[in-house]
Amino acid sequence: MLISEKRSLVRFLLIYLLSTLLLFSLASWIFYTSSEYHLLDSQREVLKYEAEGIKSKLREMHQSNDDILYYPNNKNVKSAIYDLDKKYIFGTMKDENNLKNRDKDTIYFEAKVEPYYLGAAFLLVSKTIDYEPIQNLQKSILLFMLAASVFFSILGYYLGRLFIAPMRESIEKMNHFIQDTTHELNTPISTILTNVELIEAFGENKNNMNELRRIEIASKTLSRIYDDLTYLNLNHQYHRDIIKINMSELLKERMTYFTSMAETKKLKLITNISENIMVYIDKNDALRLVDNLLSNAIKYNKYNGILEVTLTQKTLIVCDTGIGIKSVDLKQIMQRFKRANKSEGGFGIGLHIVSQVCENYKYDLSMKSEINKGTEVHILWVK
Amino acid sequence: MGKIILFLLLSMGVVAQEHKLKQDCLSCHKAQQIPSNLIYRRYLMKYSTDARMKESMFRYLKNPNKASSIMPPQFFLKFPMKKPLLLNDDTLKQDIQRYLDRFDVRNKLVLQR
Amino acid sequence: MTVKILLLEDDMQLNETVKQFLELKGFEVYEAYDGLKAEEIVYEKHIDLMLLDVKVPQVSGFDFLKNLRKDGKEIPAIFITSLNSVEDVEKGFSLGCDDYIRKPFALKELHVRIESLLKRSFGTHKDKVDLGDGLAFDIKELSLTKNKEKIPLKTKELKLLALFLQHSNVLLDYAKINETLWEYDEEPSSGSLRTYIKRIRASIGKEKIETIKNVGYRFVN
Repeated sequence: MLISEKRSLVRFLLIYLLSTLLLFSLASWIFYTSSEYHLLDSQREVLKYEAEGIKSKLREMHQSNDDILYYPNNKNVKSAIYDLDKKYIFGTMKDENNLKNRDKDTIYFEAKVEPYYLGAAFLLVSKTIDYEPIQNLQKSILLFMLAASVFFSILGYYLGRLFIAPMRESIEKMNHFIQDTTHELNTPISTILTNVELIEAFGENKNNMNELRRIEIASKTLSRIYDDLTYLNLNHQYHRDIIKINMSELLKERMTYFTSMAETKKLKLITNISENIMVYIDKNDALRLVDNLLSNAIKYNKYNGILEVTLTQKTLIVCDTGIGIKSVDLKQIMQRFKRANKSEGGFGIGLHIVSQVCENYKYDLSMKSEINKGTEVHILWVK
Repeated sequence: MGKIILFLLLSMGVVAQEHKLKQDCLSCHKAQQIPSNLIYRRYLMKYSTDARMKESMFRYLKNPNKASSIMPPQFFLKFPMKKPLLLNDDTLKQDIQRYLDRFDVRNKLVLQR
Repeated sequence: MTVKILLLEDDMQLNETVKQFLELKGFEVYEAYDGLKAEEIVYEKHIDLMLLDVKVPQVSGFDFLKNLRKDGKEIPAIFITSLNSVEDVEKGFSLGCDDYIRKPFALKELHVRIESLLKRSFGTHKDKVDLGDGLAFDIKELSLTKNKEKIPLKTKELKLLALFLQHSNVLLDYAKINETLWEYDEEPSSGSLRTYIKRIRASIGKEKIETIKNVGYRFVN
């Protein structure tokens, strides 16, 4: 993973997890307090119940004529009776002023006794808090939080990667593109430098036409690549000026531009350009399209080969008698622009741009090729 | 001799007084089978503390009547109305205290095993 | 005899440029624009050194060299390429190239590397292989001189001598000798071979070339 990806992913995960956990913690805390209250309440219910039992015992004792009154010694709860002045009368709890001071680990229930059996106005029942259900509750909540954390971490991780995927795709595409372009640039630069070296070392008293011609061709190639680069770079943002372009004129002009290159290979030019074919297209797009079609047809052509250019009302066809493209690679090229693919074939960015322009204007682009026979690129702009 | 007689008379008086005072109330109660302990328990049930019981008993004994009695009206179908006591306040109060002590149930409380 | 170089580069302009330069420097250049053509050339002609671009159509430079080395051909090779990652350099060397030069390069640098590689193949850093007694074999010109005077030897004899010097003290079997000596359309002739050996021995000394019966020869330094 790229560093920027990792960073973004980490940041996203942190924020996402923190916020989710925070929410969860809040929910858990609310749930816990409410559950705890209910758990204690149910324990309080037990006290209430016992209290009623003790109260009826008090009634019994109050009405009894026995010499000894046995105060109920309950196993579950402790109790004590207080008079109307809150003074301790008797109980299983020692007189520790329990009415006022409550022990932390004990729940109390204060019942009013009416009428005052045995003089008791208040019956205090108490029980040590059974922490077990609360602890179990805590454990379950903790476990649940843990499980939720793990779950959300994993979910978050995959969600994050999902979000980042397009970014990674873009970056990979960009990287491949840069690799391809630098390769393409290197060769014309080499040509220029080496020819300059030739002129400097051996050029005195010579006319150096060959060297200069090569420098010219290489420079034009560089210029084309530069235009392609800027085109691709600004592709998303640049403002297209859709105007009526005379495709016939443009095509002829570009063919003139590439003449020297065509001549180097002694190519035979066959042109079938209908006059005044007008197309609604941005000028730059048209240039990129035509330039790349022509330069590819020349570059991959054989010595003494043929370059055929046809322009009709509906179509532009460029044919060459070059080395051709394997059908397997042909498919790959067309797909290449959807996925970042590595290829050693050296097809570069030329066809990429052609396909982009066609996609943009919804032109129909088709390619036919046969190894060692040639390639035909067919563009249909009118359906 | 006179002192001894006085002393004896006094002591007898005290004892007799105590006894007598008790008898002031209880002999009659006993004779008429008035359920003193029940009366006590009623007071306990209604007033909870000794202080309040004493206060209420005092008021009643000073001016016993059906309306302010702690016992229900049916009680007076069976038992006669009490005549106001001719004891002085202090004696009365002491008597009441002794009455409470005599019939107290709370000191009978013992923890069940 | 001139040193023959195979130049594999698909860009026409660059190919032309390098070819022009090397010819000016006295080499004989066979150019190819794709891997297939390069394979044709290397099996037809005797090549002393190869300059290979990696990204060429049909058969890539890497694959071309790989196949060649598999077939046992040890012709020294320099990769010229714009690929510049360490992995690619690694790959190049692991496939058996002898040197690597990156585009864009200076022609002068290319020249220096070619010469160095040639010298290396003869096991020396000098322009000549010293054979003692004033005898020297010039690496650039592929010629034999005694006291700076050229000894007239036929092309094939010089080829054979060059082969021996490139495999000093190593047994060369008939197969290897024939592979180098004869063009693809020539019939190997053992009679001619014996003659060449005789003439070389006459020039540099009999003891320098050892006969291993029914197997081949060995140059002894």
